[in-house]
Amino acid sequence: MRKTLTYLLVAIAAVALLSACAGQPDAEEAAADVPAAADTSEEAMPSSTYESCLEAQAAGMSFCEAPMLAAMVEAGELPPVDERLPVNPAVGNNRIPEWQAVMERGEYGGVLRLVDFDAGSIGHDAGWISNEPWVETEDIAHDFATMTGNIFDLEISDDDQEFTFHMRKGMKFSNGADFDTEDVQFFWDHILHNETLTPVIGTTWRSGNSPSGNVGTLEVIDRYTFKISFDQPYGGWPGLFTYGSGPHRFIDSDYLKKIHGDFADPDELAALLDQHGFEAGEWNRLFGIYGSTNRQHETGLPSLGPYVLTEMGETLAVMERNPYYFKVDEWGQQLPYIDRLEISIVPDVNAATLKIIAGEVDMARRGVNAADMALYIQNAEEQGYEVVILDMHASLGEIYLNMTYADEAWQEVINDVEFRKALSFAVDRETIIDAVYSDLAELPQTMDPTTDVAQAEAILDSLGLDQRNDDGCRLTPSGLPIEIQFNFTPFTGESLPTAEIAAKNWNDIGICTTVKQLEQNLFLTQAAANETQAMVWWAHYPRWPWHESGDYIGQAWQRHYAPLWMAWYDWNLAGGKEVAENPDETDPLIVGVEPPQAYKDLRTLQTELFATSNAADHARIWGEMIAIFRDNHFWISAADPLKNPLIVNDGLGNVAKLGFQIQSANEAEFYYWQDETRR
Amino acid sequence: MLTQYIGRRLLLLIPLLLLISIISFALIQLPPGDILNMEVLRLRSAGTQVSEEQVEALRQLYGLDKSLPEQYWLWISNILFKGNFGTSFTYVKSVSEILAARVPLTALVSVLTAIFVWITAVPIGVYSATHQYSLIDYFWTFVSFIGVATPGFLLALIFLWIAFVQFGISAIGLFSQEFEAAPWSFAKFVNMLQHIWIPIVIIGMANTAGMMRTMRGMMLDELNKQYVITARSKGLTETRLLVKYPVRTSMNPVFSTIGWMLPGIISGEVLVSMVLNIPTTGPVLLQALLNQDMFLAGSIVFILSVLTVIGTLVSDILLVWLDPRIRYEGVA
Repeated sequence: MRKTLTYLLVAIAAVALLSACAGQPDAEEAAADVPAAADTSEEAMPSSTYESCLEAQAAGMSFCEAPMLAAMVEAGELPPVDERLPVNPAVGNNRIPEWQAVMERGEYGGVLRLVDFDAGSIGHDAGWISNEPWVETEDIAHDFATMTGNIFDLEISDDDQEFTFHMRKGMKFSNGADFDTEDVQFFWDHILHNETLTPVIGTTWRSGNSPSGNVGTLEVIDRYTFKISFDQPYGGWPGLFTYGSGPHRFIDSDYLKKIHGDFADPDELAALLDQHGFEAGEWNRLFGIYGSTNRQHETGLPSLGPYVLTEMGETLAVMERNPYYFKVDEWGQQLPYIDRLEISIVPDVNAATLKIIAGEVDMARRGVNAADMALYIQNAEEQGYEVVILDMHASLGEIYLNMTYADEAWQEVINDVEFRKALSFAVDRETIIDAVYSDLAELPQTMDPTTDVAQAEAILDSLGLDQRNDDGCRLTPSGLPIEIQFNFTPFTGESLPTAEIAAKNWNDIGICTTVKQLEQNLFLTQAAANETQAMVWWAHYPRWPWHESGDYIGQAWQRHYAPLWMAWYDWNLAGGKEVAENPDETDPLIVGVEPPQAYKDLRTLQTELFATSNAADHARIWGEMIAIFRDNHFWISAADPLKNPLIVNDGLGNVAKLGFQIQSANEAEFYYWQDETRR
Repeated sequence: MLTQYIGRRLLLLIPLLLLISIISFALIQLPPGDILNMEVLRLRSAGTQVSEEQVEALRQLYGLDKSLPEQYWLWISNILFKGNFGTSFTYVKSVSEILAARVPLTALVSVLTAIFVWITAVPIGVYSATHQYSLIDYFWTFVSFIGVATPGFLLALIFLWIAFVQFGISAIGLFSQEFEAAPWSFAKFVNMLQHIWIPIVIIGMANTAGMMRTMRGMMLDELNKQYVITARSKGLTETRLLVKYPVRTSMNPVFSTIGWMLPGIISGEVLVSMVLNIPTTGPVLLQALLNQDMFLAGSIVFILSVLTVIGTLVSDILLVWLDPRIRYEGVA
């Protein structure tokens, strides 16, 4: 019997060995297979696709197209390129400053590999590539002086109340359907003004971006021209449509009519509802599915971006070129140059980092952190990618003190600007920049960035906070200990180290501070309920006065620095209607607390900013707002502006290596493979 | 008598499952906030503007404006009468679609892991017991202690690091890069087999180690019993004696774990799957819980609970059927 058992053991060992052997060649094969696969694709493609383009132009075509589309036209699956493009397509790139110096004529073909790490979604790098804003400004700076048309051309009236949009004649959605004023009218009448789909029309569509402003009106002038008017000046309005995506993303009306309760055939609609498990009458929920860019491969969602989703697996998504894309290069070649995007979907940011340093990603923005710089650079040369340092569009770890946090000791001190100044003087920004951002950041420019602990202590002493309790915490004049609890949630990697460094700095000057990590949802709920005393969070200011304009008045979704001031505005500014209707309401979360004059001035300036389209006025108003932040220390800026690396494969051409990182990562329709083996 | 036993157990399942469904639904609602907080955060970070008015529209879109009991009733009645587990908010997909895409692979990994565990742990356990305190016994004891003490995700991380340093590749996922986008073919299948042993060995490691020890302990108990000595004195060959009696008795713990295997087949190993990027259902459940994607999380928890209950029933029945001693005590 011993023999039998010995055999068994030997067999087990053999199995283990076999599997180990099966694994090793796998790794070697993978390494060996990549160039092999590239070789075959090189044979299949001619060296320059531009030659065939010149031939097409010689034969009388205005534009030319990728070989993969030419083959489909040949096979009768697509109309010719001149019929697919608008008569006045968008030419070249307006978004990147000094783009002319960078722009090269690209060659068609190849695959761009990306990575994303949100379950079931490709919303980030690929999502940004798919966005087509209404109009564009240079380098997302929102400078109206550089504004140019994208999907529309725009004329703004002198009184900043009328906006006339000129559409591109013959422009089409990715399914070949016409994109004209009929689609705009459908959006306006049956989505924006449909109570089921839009229960409350947002401030975006109201005069002056105010909740009490009147909703604008749409006037269709002809098939390709429409006008939107407001009853008050709202010149800043187009600034809301210069980047990203949102409720203003257009979808073909014929496609939407099939799921819209007012238009769809009742039997077909009932069948659709049943198929998706919704109750009768819940047709609005179909919009979630049929409008989702993550299900485009199933629904055929017509879109305007350079790529359409064709496959969405558990670990890989594939997007292919949109044959109707409305942009061409200066040589008449329809964009994009690259045929396909392959997006690896991994479970978390660490897996994404591993793929990046293994050279398995051609372009990566999101999930690329300054803190991992050493790792990227260490592997860059061997794996054939470049680490490009670009500007960051957001501040990732800003420090907020809640001015309206309901704690007796806190209220004694926090509303004194000198106290906030002392806390700001205590924050060791050099250490934060070094430890959190690998030196890829500068001292903040919107406030006094001095670190001066002695001065901080002197200010606190002069405020009468010179007494301390047994724990060394400073006491308020009435004898209460001043304690700060910092909340953060690990949404960006910068929040924890920033909070810890600031907490240490404040403990050193006798302001007793503790740091507490919260689960994201709890964090957001507490912040909204005015239960957060201090937090570290990300924000888009001070570079983006338009988008997320709420960030700098504390109005962002998570309400950082004064939730009750915000509530006061909501309660009192909606025409005083709420107050009149509910005279007995006393809940501070609803009625709020009256803010100081400086904050009211900030809000007034924000209203002025939204009212005008004049770039010089914008600069002036923005300057005044920054002066208010600087004088009042409503929050403590840790570092600003930031830089962030962008990972780009060495063989990829036409990637802008200056300006904003998110903008460069966005320009994939212009990328092409300089490395012929990748085409 | 056995049918009566099974019938009684089945009847008991009904109130139990109802209770489980209520608890799993309530548990997911317990933490503060809801899916919208997370959804808005995600949308904003992806560059989509979201105003508070739009949040209200989303709330209606998701049916979150209804009361809790109403939401529960909609959920459970859809499961009972239509077999519809609801729609996930983050995936914008029905729960069945999400699970259909992931359960087959999860089941494959789990079953292969179980087989790996059995074919390694049982023989090693038996060998260690019959050769107690021999060099090989010490060796396997050492290995099993390490195996039990090292979490699977740590092994996975170490493995990834070695693969990266040695071969310069990211050894995550089930396919090499060139096969990832390819349609199914024999070559792709072979490529998958070359990758799938990694999670199997890593996930199986702790279980193998544990089961090895259990098997060894059980065997040692049995080997000293009088029936073994009697059988041996009657001249039975050692192999026949071992396999027919003590091994059979010692296998009881193996069968009782079949009950836990059933939910395990569907749930998969969360952390190892996360680290190795194996698209099993484990990471989906984790994400759903973190995001408060309540129908997805609730349905997975519910399905897992049902499977645990059924699995326990199956393993009880198996034990009753296999071991006459339990049959007489338990059923009568």
